[in-house]
Amino acid sequence: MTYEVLLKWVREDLIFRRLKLSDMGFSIDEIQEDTILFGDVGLSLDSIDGLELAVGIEQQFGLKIGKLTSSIAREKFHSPRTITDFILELQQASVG
Amino acid sequence: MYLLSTGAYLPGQCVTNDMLVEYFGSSVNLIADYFGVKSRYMAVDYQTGKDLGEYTSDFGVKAALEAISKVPHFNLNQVGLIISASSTPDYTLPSLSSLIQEKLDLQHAIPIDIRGGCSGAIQALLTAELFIQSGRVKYALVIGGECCSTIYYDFLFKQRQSYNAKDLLNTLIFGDGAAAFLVGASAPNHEGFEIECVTSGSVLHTQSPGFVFSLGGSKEKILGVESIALSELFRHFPKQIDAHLPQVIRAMQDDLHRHGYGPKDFKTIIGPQANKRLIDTMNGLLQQHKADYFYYGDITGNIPGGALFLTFDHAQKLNPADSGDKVLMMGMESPKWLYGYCILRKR
Repeated sequence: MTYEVLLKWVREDLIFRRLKLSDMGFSIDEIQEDTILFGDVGLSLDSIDGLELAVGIEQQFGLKIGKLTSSIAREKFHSPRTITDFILELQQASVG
Repeated sequence: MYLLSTGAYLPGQCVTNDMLVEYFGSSVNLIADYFGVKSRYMAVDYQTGKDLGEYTSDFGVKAALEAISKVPHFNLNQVGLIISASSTPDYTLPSLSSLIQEKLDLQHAIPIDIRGGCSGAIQALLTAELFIQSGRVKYALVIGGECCSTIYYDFLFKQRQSYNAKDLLNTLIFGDGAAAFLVGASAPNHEGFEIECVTSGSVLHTQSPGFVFSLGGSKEKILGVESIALSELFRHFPKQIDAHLPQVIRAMQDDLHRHGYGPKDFKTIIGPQANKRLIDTMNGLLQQHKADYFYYGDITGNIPGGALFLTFDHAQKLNPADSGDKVLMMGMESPKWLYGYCILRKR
């Protein structure tokens, strides 16, 4: 899977569809690669959404994220691009 | 009012996170670690999803009988009032307290149900105090308990290849069980605790909820879990909790101060058992009081109506209070931001 394909999966499947963001009035175009996911700006997702993203990654790729602290979530789940990087990091760690 | 004795009951076996990993994958540990929950007791067989045949009223009866058995020469028929606090009764009707009344064969006891989530047990104690202070009854059984797993576990188990985090976290953070307080206008031989103060309040009743439990009972599903998205049964709003819980804690602190209680008054604090993340929100209050804080929810999961009594019972087994010691037992819930507390002094 190329980086761009993975990024597309993160934006469209993991974030938009898994979190049912259309129910919250968002369109898929509002989720760009650098859209901020958590905090007071951007999508403003909550901590349960963060868990949902983590579980989605584990289910899709058979990866183990391990302990998910608030600081890890803030850093790794900052935007679709950081999530994509995080998945690649986990994949590399799992084969290494 | 006096607390004569306590009893507790946890159904089935202690189901650890590792036991559930086999069925739900490594996400179990990811979510459970996040909330600080290691295990829970469930009224279903975690390997099949089938009910074990015990529900909230059965837990309550067993807890009540244990409490009664601890008081020498006390006759069950002396109980004039049964108050139950639960958000997961066996049925919507008949009421939980009347089922417990039937199973204890206490024809003349008054049954009353309270539904107040994590502060329900305090509201139940407050109601018992009014009956006892008025002289209407001499002894009451106040029972808090929940049976959550029978509502959703079977469905989640069948869907275990395609669950989402919200479905799974409810299984992990909630548990089943009950505890009972036997209270009365008098207590024999200077045993037990004097209940110095019990009160309940609300400061944010118009605010958005932090948690909504929308349907059903532990045995009878009103619409059926299968007919709706499972995660719609228990809805969590963590941003609301972060925004409002500190205000509820401040209101409770102010309330304690108005009643003349200060930071050095308590040996032990029994507080919300929801999860470690929520308890961390209370650090300011706990640091002020420097009392032992008992957290049992990591072992039992959160049992909203029963958590305070269960943890009190557990704390007294581990580290019994000495004469004169005071215990602060406080509950708060996020559906309507109610709070309540009770102060008990060892005789």
